[in-house]
Amino acid sequence: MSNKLSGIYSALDSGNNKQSLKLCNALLTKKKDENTNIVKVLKAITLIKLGENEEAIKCADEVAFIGHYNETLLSNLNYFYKSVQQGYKMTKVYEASVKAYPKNENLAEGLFLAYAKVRDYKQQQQVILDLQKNFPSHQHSLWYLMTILSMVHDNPSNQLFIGLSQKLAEKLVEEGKIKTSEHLYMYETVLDIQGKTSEHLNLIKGKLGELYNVATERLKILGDLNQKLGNHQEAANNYSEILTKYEPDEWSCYMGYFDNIWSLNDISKIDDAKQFIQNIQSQQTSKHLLRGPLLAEIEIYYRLLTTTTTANGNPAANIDGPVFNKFIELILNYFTKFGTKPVLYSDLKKYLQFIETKKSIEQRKEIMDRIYKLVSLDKDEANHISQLSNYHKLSRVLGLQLEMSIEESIKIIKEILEEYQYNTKKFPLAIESERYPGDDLILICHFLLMDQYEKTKQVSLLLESAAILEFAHSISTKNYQFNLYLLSLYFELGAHQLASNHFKILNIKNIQYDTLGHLVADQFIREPTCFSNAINAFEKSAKFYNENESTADYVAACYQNGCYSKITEIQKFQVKVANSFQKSVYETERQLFNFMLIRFKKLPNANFTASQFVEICKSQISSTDPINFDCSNEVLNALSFNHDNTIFDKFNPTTTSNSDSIKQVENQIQGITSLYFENTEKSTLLLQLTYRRQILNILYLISTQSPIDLNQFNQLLISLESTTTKLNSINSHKIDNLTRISTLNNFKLLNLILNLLKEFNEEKLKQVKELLELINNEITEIVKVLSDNIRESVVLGNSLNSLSRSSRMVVSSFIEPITWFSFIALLVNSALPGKRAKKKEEYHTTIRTDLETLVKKLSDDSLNLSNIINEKSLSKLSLTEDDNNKSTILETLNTQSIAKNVSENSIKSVTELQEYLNSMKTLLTFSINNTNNTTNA
Amino acid sequence: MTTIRRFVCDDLFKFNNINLDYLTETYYLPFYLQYLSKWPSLLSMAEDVNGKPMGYMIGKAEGEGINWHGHVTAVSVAPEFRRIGLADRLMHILEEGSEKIYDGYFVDLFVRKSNTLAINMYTKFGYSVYRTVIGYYSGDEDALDMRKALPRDVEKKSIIPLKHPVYPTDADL
Repeated sequence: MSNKLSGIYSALDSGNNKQSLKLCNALLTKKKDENTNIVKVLKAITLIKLGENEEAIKCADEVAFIGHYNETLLSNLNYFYKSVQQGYKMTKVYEASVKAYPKNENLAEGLFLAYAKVRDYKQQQQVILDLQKNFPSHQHSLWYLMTILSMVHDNPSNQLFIGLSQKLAEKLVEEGKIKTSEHLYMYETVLDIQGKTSEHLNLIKGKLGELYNVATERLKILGDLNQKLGNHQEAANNYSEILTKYEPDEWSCYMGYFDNIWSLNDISKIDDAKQFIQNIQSQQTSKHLLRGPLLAEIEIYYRLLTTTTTANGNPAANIDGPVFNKFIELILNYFTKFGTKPVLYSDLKKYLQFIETKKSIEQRKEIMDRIYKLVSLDKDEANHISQLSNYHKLSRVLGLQLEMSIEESIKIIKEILEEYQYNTKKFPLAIESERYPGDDLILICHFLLMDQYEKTKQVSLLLESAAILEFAHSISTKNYQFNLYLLSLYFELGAHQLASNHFKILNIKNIQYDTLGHLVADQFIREPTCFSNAINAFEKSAKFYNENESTADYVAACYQNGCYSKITEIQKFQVKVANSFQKSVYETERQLFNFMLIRFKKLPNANFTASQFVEICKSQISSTDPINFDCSNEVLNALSFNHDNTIFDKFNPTTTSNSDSIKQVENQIQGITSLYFENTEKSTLLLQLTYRRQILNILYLISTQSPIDLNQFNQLLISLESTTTKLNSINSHKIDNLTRISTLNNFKLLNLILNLLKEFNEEKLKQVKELLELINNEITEIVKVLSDNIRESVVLGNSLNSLSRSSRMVVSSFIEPITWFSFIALLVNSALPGKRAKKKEEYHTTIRTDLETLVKKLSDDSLNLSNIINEKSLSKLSLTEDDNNKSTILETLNTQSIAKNVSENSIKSVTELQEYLNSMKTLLTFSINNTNNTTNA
Repeated sequence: MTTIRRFVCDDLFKFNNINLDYLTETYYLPFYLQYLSKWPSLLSMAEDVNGKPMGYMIGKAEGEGINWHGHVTAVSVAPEFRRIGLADRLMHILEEGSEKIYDGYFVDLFVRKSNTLAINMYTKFGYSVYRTVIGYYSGDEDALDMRKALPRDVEKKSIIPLKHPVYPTDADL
């Protein structure tokens, strides 16, 4: 590499983009040489880093399509086009290059891979045929088969390609070109697609099957194929061979074995299975005791109790008979052996849930009494706390904790905490990175308190729980379950910063923004104290979704590395990320958020005119990445829900309805305040996304078009109205319904006034007047509901409603829509002739006056709301004086100080909310007063 | 109980209970895809009976000549599934793949010199210290390069310890 180029690279590496641009420009003014093209590409890369996307693309496009063979240049171009989401242009780059250098094999392969990345199968096929002709090789034959297979995957009913893939695969076999299991995978797929299972079986049994040279892999495939063909005895033999010879602890093989034995419908075979499991057990040494063989025996009895082996359709064994007794014996024995391991719960969960649905509460209690006898009662014994922890987890999953009285719960919590404190002193955590063995007991305390909170709605229970979790977190500092539950609790208590602190400890990164972002998205976007977190989350998630642009490169890598089994898998994954629901939510909310926040951010130094202000808002919208605000069914139905809802450890029974109260409370209040919830119907979530996008489309239209296309505006209003009606019929919350209707009417008002100004008639004027009055009434009603809600929500007192929800409502039902309204008022005001204009009509004055009255009212409403919140925070936020806040559980617990923290923190949140409400007055006043220098919109 | 299978792309959506643990890094997407698209048989995922992820192994095959070997890049087990021999099983699968699929001479791994728990565990699995790599972890801490010979290395030459520590730049990593 020349010195000149290395200067540019090092400037880019160190982030000195201006220097890089300077160097590029200096080189480009000189005479053209062999480096000129590459410098241009580097300049394009520099320009995107400087935010000059348009110029960057122009710069790269100038040299991209003239044909190149320099690999550095090509890979820089690939990097560049990926960064601007135009990776598809690489096919054009390679088309030109292959044309210019037809003898270059690398370029021809590059072209093939470029088409493979964008999944243009037809072109891919054309290029691979050329490749095979011009540069025949073993690899290219394999690529040809994979290309045809991709086309079959894309269109499974295409018999022509299916037939072709079969022929190609057979030819490869004949020519001895199937040399690895990755090659064989393609042949297997060809057979599977055609349902040729017995051919597949023969293939794996034969010589080629030896390509799977890890014995267990081949046996698992054989087991699976035999099972599909109904060769259950053979399949069972395949799995039992793995268990006896290689993997006595592999659960999938136990299950595979049992599934096939049971399919034989022969009771004597089940006796054989019992014997088989006992043989495996007898070969175990007590030093390395495996769980598999013991759990497998429990599974046999579970199957006898739940599945049929006889023609009459009844389970093989009676739930009250000896088989059940044996089943319990085995579970008790399992506890004896593995009662000290946290994994015991997940091993036994299925069986306990079964017992929970089949046995009375007394019977279940009796089982737990027997388990309790197995718990070491010697507190000075290291295993004691682990066994106790499992005992309580099993008790919970058996449904024995749900009906407890507050006294019973508190008694257990006290016992648990005393044990935990004693034990953590006696056996301090040896390694900081590990969990303390009794940590799950703390979660049990939390669940017990939440069960009670569900019944009484006493906020002090939430505080007690936070105190317990904080205490345990100070001992077992790396247990993220504590962070997760504290995060939920603090949000519920309106202590948003405390919640955010626990979120930060989780340190989520990259793909976790897609899978876990929903944990905080609502609060971040709706709570003024969290707004900076929201911006951070938008940026981090956008970075991750951009990374997905590179995913297709790994499809190419699979071809190059000969890893054919991963090609379709990576492609599907790429689509799931690109079509992520969470991604759509982030992108939509990011724009709406900008729309709201820009007004507050820019106004305090509002020395500019209305038209300048409109320009600022417009520039903000257009400077953010252009996104597709598409709401078509095609787009919505393709969305993928990648959320991970499994990270909270829970030990709940299946039949419970009143556990996990926080999530339940959240579900009760879902609506426009919430963007994603675990148990919400997908169709509702999609409708909600549609609603938000339709609003965005309207805001986008009215702020970027001048003059506004009223027909298009009208079309958007019709769509919004339809979604509003649908959402209102699903969600019956008054405040949500009102907000949606009033928002719709606000936009209708703008549309109507603009129509009126275009062509006056009395009827339209009358409609404007009516609409203004309607909006007036709706907002009065919204403010009333909000005020009542704030007043009733005895903040951190005795009510279900805590301020966290009220503040969220204030943002979603007042601050956000009124901010949009301020923009509408500004546009209307700009559209009307100025106050001192000579050419104006009487109705202009009337509308202006009415609008001013409405704006004045909104201003007053903001202040009123702010005052109500203020009274609230002055009167009720003082927690420490409240008798309820003395810990009823343990005096050593620091509930008082937690309460104080929560209180201070929620006051902070409230103060920030008030600031937004107070500045609405400035915003609204600005929207109707600043007309002197405006130009008509 | 445990089922071990090959790691698939969609596991990236589900592995949070393992990765939320503060010692386990969540890398950026291309990191995982690079491994999946090159050494698909050296990445494994362990699931419990309910399908919940328990732990995973990310490995690769690399090196020239007699240095051709399997390498443990990351092995991680969720907190609640520790001390049940899961890492052992995941290591075994990597070793088997390194031997049978890649025909390597040995398997190696890097571990923080201070991480005695892990060092003891690997010793129990048959690994021995081959060399110390000075300042391998961002210059802050030395790494121990631990190795276990595979059958192809008949004379077990690959695991004869080096007498002197090496710097990362000198180490043929």
